[in-house]
Amino acid sequence: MKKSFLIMCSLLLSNFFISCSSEDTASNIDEEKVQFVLQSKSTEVTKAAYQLLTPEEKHFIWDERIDYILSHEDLTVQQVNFINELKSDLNSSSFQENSSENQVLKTKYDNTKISVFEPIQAYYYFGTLTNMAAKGTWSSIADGGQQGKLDFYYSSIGLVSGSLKSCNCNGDSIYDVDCTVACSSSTNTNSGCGVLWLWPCEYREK
Amino acid sequence: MTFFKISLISFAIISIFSCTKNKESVLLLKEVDLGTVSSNDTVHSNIEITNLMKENLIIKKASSSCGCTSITIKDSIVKPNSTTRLDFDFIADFNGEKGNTSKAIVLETNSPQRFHEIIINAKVE
Repeated sequence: MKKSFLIMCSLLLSNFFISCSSEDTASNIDEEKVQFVLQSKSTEVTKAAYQLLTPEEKHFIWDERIDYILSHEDLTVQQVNFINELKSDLNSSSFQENSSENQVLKTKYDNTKISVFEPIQAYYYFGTLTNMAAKGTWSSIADGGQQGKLDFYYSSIGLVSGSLKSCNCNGDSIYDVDCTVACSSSTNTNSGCGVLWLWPCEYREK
Repeated sequence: MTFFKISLISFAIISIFSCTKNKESVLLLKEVDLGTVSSNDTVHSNIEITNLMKENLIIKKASSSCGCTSITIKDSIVKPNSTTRLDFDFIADFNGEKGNTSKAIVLETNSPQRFHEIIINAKVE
C-alpha cells in the first residue's frame, strides 16, 4: 500500500511538472519562432518575423539552409568549397549587428566571392528564405533557360509582388533585379538585406 | 485497490487540466487599409489590441518588414479585457512613383496564438 502510494505520488508530481513543458532547455533556439519565420506565406511577414529572432536563431536558420543546399543541390567543387567556407565562418556573432565577426563576414563575402554561383542562383540560396523543398533545385529551374530563371526570380523569389517595392534590397551585395533606387535615410535599416540578410537595406527595386 | 483507483483518476484529471489554456486570446485588426497616400507622405495610424484572456497580455516584441514602418506600443502589458494601442508611422518614400504597396507588422505575445500578423495596405499616388 505504502509502495503504491509512493509510486502514484511520484507519477502525479512528475506529470504535473513535465506535462506542459515545451521549452528545449538544451538549446537557445526557439523552434516555434523559427518555424513561424520559415512557414510564413508572405515575404513581408517573413521579413518582419525575422527581426524577432536572436542572433543564435538567425544563425540556426541560415546554417540549416546551407546544410540543405549542400545535401540537395548539384554543386561544383568551387561552390561546395565556398559553402563549406561560409558555413565554418558563420556563428551567432555573425548576426550581431556591428560585431567584428559581422564586419569581417560582410567584407569577405562580397559579390566577387559569391560569383562562383549564377546571380539568381546566389540570390535563391543566400538572399531569400524561400522554401527550397517547395521551389525545387536550381538545376531544375535552370533547365528553363535564361527566361526560365528570370521567370522564377520574378514569380517566386523576387521581393514582394505588386507595383511598389519597399526599402528591402541592397545594391552592393548579391544580385537583385532592379535594386537601384536609393531609399531615404528615414527608411534605411542596418541589416536585413543582401547575403544572409546581413547587409543594410538601403535600396529598393524599381 | 480503492486508493489505486482514486490515484489513477486524479492522475487523469491533472493530465487533462494541467495543459488547458484559455482559447480566447487577442482581438486586433489583421489588415489595415490606409487608403490613398502621397508618394512622399508619412502616414500616422494606429490599431487597438484587446486582451480577451483571463491573464495579462504581454506584447514581448514588435517588428516590421522594412524601415518604412516604425512602431510604438502604448502599453506592452495589457490587463484582461483591456485595450492598448499600437501606433505606427508609414513612410511612403516612393519619390513620385504610383501603385499599391503592402507592409507587415508582426507581434510576439504570450497569448496561445503567439505571433500576430498585421498587414498594412496603401495606394500610393
